[in-house]
Amino acid sequence: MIVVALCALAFLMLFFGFEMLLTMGLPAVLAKLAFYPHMPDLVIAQKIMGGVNVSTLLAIPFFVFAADLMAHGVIAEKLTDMVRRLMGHYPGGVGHTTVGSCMMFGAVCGSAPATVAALGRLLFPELTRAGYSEKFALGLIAASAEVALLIPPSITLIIYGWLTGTSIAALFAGGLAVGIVLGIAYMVLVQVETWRCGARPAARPTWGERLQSLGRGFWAIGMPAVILGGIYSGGFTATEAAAVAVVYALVVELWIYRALDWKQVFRIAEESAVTTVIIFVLLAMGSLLSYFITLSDLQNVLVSFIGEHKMNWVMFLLVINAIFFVAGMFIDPNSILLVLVPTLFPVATSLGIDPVHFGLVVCLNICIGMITPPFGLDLFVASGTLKRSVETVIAGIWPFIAVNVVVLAIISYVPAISTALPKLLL
Amino acid sequence: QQAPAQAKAKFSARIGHLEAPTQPRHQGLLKVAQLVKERTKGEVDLQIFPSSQLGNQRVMTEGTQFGTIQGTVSPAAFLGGFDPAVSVLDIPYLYPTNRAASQKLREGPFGKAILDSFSSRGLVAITIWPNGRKSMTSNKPLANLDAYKGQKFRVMDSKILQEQFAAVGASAVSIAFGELYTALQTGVVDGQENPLDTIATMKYFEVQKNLVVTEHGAMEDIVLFNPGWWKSLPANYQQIIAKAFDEVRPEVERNKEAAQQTALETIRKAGMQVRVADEAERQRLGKAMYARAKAAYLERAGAEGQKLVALYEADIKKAGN
Amino acid sequence: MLHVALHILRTIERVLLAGLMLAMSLGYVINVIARNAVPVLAPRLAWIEEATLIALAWVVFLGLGLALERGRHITMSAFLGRIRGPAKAWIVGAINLVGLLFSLYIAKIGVDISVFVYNSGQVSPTLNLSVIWLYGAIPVGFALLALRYALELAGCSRRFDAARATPA
Ligand code: NA
Ligand code: NA
Repeated sequence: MIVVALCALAFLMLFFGFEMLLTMGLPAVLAKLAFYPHMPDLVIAQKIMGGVNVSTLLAIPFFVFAADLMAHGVIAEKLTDMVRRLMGHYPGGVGHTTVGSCMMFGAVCGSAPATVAALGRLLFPELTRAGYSEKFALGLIAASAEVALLIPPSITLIIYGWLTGTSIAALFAGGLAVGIVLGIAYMVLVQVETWRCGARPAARPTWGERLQSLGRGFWAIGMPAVILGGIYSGGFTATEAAAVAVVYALVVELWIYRALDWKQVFRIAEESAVTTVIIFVLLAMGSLLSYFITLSDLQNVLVSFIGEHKMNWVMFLLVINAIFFVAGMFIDPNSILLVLVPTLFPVATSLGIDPVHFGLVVCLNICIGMITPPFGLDLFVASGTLKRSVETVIAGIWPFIAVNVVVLAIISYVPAISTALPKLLL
Repeated sequence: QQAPAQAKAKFSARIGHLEAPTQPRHQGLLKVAQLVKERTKGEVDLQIFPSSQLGNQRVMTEGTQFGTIQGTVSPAAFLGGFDPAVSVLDIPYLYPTNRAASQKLREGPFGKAILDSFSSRGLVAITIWPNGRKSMTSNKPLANLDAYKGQKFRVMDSKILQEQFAAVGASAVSIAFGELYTALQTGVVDGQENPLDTIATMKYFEVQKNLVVTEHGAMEDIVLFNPGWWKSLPANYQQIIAKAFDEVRPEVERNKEAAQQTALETIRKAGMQVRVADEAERQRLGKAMYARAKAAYLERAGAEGQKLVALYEADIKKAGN
Repeated sequence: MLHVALHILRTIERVLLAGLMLAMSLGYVINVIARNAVPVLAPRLAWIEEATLIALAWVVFLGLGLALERGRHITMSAFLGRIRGPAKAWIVGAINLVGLLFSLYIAKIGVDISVFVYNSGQVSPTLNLSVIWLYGAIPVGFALLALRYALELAGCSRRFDAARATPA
């Protein structure tokens, strides 16, 4: 009864244009007061802080800052100029480049929102310039970033491995396969959209023009080179790479291209800070909301539901996917992983589901949770960094959610996609 | 709002910890909860939340102080910020290799003093559970003391553990648990220290070449309760709970040792170079590390730390005679 | 008077936000360079990681008010954008009132938790700094947010117009 009232309140607040932090925060606080009246209120402040005081989240503000510096300076322009010269004349070239860059970036970074923060500002102007609608461009960026959770390294898969004792190398190999399948599915959607909206390829550049754009962008290419090189050589972690990107952009824009001065840097730093604020305050409120859902008896209800209805693995995965989809709309992905996986994993293995297969089904579900409204972190990061309303992002995300659901069905019922590569490699 | 089965309990407690449900600590806690339930006729209900569901360890310990949760079972290494005295347990080779002798220390004046040190920090510490010993892994050779020089090891956030590595010429790097696997793979750090079963569960053998079973660090679990909740219990229920923890402890230790043995087999089979350090090597490592780690400890724990170290050294001497 | 005071406050917020962003990035990179160039220095710089996380918390909460003033908080404003007149004024008033009360409540709990951790003596593991340095960001930040909601309620500031005025 109270739960229904709180959900209704949240939807009303959402509809009437309350700030999202209130829409999430107020029902969570009321839930605490209604269901856990004796628990000290301090828990509210504790969980608000708990949502942002996480070292792996640091990559997000750093990538936001680096991308803002590049966009206000000239690195972004030079990089996108290169994309246009090299890919722009293929039909759908810029769209495919977006998916491809997210896959490449995902190969070093294990965080989807950080991927949106790092690449969004580079790719968005180029996508709209190539003729895609803003909606589609926003959806494509928010959705493509998911691939970073699947393509190794992936903190999601590491946590799953820790919870269940599954080989992380095997999960990584399976994640690579599933990530590629998802990437291809996005590329198909890009191609369809290219035909549908009639996005015209640019004129074919001469080899001279191509080389020229590469030459002009020497220091700009240095950016991905330093990040990829630094991570692969063991120089730094993905989170540290984000900070390196900031300093690299500062040095190149301030002293090499001289495109920015300190006054502008100050203003950009402030702008990036505000972007960080609006994303992280929602992480804080999400952590509060998720905590009270964790404490509720929901997971036991689910397990007993599954226990009562004798299911085969086909049925089981259908139910699991439905549960994760709904949970992913509201709860932060890490809580879903920590709360649901330990209770569901033994059931999955008892039905003969391969642990690696189950892990990838779970991971893909977590990915989908990142882009499903109302609480989808990738949506917020895209909205915050690209300064478009979250409704516009949501309006563009539906085709990608549909593609994800189709891919999820394929991954769920063709276990070989997840398990073949690990078996081959290990 | 609670399920009917729990509505019957007069005293219910949420107890959080950070290990996965398959690990010995969680199994032990479930056993304790079951014993307590039986012996109090269902009046005391301990609900166990594994795998950091209730927050990271700092948040769970703090929550136990606030009373947002009623208890937590925490590795001593995560408690230094709350009670500097407990960090004495971070000092390498504090416990002898012999498990029975170690239990004597835990139960003796030294262990009691550690538990008492929590009472002025808004926590009730009722017992110490053993949770295995840390060993070293690295992608570079660890053949002798000199080999540590210049290597980078990941450690938990602790001054004492940083000094432990500095003492042998290695450097300590702090990296989040979730990023460690990848950091070992790409070579951001050369090595790490963890109990064997963690090395096996986290599959570090997939990304590490050498393991030396040094058993240099004791992983001690402190069982903590919220003072308000603890005092609300009738004295006999407090005893029942404390006794249940003591009863289950040997089983937890047995399971942990067994898990380490199984883990060692898994690690060997995976093709890692494995070497078990003999007593002489352990002595050498301990001698190299003890002084600096102890100094780092005393710097933070002050007079209270002096007292604990004195107690410890007296207990060790007694055991030696 | 009010405008001068607000201008000073805004300047402080802006300098702190920009300064923290720059300091966090530089500190993190110094840590990376030191670890690779002079590994023995690494333990001496371990505090940077901890300090950066505390700085992040300050950025997040310190900027709450400024973000509101600029209409940057994430909102679904499609409906609000379509209506006009007294109905809109009522809804905006309700939002501001709820926002004010909510921020004051969180700020109050933030004070409580800060006092609690200060008295409990909890310190950070490497810096040995009282945890009030972490939790203190909550009362300060939500007080600044409450101030902005109060100004909106009093009609001194109109974020829903500001949000539309800024070029997208
Ligand atoms: Na990745
Ligand atoms: Na979602």
